[in-house]
Amino acid sequence: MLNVNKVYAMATMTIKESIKNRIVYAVFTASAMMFMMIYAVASVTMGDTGQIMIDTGSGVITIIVDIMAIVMTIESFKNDREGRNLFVLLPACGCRWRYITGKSIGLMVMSAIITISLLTVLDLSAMLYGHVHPISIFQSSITIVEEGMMATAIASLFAQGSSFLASILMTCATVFAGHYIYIIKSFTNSIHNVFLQTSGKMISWILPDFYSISLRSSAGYINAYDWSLLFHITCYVIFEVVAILTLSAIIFSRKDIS
Amino acid sequence: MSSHIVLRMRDVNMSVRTGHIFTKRKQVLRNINIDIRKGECVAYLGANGAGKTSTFKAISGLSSIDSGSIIKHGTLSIMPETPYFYKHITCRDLLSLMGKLNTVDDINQKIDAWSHRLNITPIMDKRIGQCSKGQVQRVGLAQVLMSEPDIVILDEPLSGLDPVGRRLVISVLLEQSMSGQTILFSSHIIDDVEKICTRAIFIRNGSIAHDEFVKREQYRTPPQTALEKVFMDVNQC
Repeated sequence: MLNVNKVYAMATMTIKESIKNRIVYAVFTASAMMFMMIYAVASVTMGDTGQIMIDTGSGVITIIVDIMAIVMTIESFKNDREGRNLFVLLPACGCRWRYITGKSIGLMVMSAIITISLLTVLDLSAMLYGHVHPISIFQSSITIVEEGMMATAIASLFAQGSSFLASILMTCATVFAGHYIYIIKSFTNSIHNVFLQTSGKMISWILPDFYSISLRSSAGYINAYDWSLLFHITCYVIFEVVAILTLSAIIFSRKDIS
Repeated sequence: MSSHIVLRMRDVNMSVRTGHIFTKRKQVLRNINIDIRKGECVAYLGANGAGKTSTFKAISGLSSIDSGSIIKHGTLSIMPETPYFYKHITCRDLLSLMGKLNTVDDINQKIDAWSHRLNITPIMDKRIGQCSKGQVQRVGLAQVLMSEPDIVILDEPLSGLDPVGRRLVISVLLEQSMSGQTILFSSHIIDDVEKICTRAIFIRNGSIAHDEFVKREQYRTPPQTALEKVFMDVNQC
C-alpha cells in the first residue's frame, strides 16, 4: 500500500525535469542581480554591511523563493494535466496520492535546493563583509527553507484547479494572508461581534501561519534563537505540509482527468 | 487461447462536463458491454469523437463512470495518443524512472532490449524534447511494453510514424499478441488494424455498434506497397 519506491521515483522524475526548468535559471539570474544591488546598498548605508545584507537579502530571497515555488509547482501540475502525462503516470503510480506526494516532495526538494544555494551565497557574503552571528542566521535560513516548502504544498493544493491564473492568484493570496495573520488575529480580538469574531478565528486557524514561522527579525543580531523554538516551528511546518498534501490528494482522487 | 476474462465492462455509462461546473454534462459512453479475454488483440474503432479515448480513460480510472462496472484482472499500462512526457529528461532516464514506477525488474537490461527492438537505441541519450513525434511514440511504446502489463492499452499507436516505424510497431504488436499479451488499441488506419487484431469492436456515438472476431493469420506478413519499397530503399532500411 505505502510503496515508497514509487513515491521516490515520482519525486526523482520531478526533480530531474524541474532542474532544467527555465524558471530556475530566471531565479538564479534575478538573485545574482539582486545580490549585487543589496551589496551596493549595504555598503553605502550607515551600520554594519553584513547585517544590512542579511536583513534585506533574506527578505528578498523569501519573496523570490515563494513566487518561484508557486509558479513552478502550478506550472508543473498544469503541464502534466494538459500534456496527458497523467495517462501514463497515474496507472503506473497505482494510487493517485502517490503521484501527488511524489510530485510535491520533488518540487519541495527543488525549492529547498534553490533556497539553500541562494542563502549560502548571502550568508557567506554577510559573514565576509560584516560582524554577524552565524548561528541565528543559520536558524533563520532553516525557517526560510521551510517557508518555501510550505508555499509549494499550498500551490499543489490550488494547482488542482483548472485555471492557471486562478491557481496562482489563490496561492499568492493564501501565502500573503498567511504572512499577515497577526493582523487578522489582532482584529479578531478587538471586535465584539460574535459572528465576526468566530469567522476571524476560523480564518486565522485555517490559514497557514507564515508570520510565526519566520525567524528573520533578529537573525544575525542575536547569538542564537532557542533551539526548542526552531523545533516547534519545524513540527508545525511538517504538520501543515502533511495536512495540505492530504487535502490535495483527497481532491485529486475525486477529479476526472480530461 | 485461454478464456480467462481480463477486462469486463458492464453497462458502463459516462458523461463529461462540457464547460464550467454548472454547464450540462454530455453523455460520451452509453451502456458499454465488453469482455476481453487474455491474449486477445482488440482493435477499438470509431470516428473522431465516437468515445474511444473516453473508454480508455474509464478503463484506466482516469475518469469516473456514472453507472455500470469495470473489472480488471491484472496490471494495466496505457499509452496516450500523443505522449508528451517530460521534455528535459533523456529517453533513457524516462524509461528508467517509468520502470521504477512500474516496479520493473532488471530495468537496464529491459531498456536495452526494448530500445533495440523498437530501433530507438541511437536516441536513448537524447532529451525527449529533441526527438521527433514518431521517436517519442516509440519511446512511449517501449515504456508501456517494458513493464509487461497484463493489459496494454494503446491510443492511436501508429499515428505520426513513418512507413518504417509503422511496420516495426505492427510487427512488435503482432509479436506481443502472439506471445499472449492482451492488447486493446485504437487506430484510424484500417489496413494496419487488419494486420494486427484478432477482434474489432466498433463504437458510434458512445455505443458499441459492432463486435467481430477477425482471422489474423492471412495478414501475418504485411504486404509491402510499391511506394513503401521505394521509401525503404531511399532510407536504406
